[in-house]
Amino acid sequence: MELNLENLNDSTKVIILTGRMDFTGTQEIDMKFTGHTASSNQHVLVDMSGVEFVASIGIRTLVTNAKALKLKDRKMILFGLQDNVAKVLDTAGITAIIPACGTREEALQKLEG
Amino acid sequence: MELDLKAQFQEMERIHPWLMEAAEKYQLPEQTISSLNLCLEEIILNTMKYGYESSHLDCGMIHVRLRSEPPRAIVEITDNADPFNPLEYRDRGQAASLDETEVGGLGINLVRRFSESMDYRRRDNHNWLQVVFRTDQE
Repeated sequence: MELNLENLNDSTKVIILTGRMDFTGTQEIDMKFTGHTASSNQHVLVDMSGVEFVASIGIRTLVTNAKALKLKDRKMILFGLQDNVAKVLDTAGITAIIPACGTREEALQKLEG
Repeated sequence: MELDLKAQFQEMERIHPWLMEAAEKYQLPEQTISSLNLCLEEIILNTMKYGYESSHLDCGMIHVRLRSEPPRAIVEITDNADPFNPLEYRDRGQAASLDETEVGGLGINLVRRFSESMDYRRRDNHNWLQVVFRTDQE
């Protein structure tokens, strides 16, 4: 997997994930992801549009980091989920806990709202 | 088609390419491939993580067999790990908030929800798990 970072402004960053969030892929980005959520006081939008598969190990990474952000009173919002990824996250009940939006713009609106 | 894996984490990366080969051979639809992929990932990782606590991991073997019986695809997973019946694993339900969410423990629930049926037997010191998928549904 690949993880890229985009600093939108002082309060928000975007983590862009690409690849398969299975055991092998998640291991490749897990520490970086945690580093990025721990290193600042920004909200985190996660661009999931390049993620073609997610298993429970990938969900674990998302939930762990969302929890860490919440402790700092910061939010995580996912956007751009592919259909099969959305289905897994919905089934696991994750989209009820970590908000998911269609686009980056909607995610930003959600953050402000 | 069959796949033999050692119970070592670096073997996990062999699952997806093997499944892609099988999907092409059996002409499986996208939705079935996706469900199969998820279930194999969850079941095999679970076995590698927790199945060999009382025995030596270096002699752990996991055998996967996939066959197509339209309108179904059937996968059998046999391993020499500690006895574990996923059918007896209780669904804890969904968490209502981030605070209540337990990290982990999700895998088997996902397998249950993304397959049509599951069957388990313990025989000859091996776990045998069969998971059935529809190939004709969205």
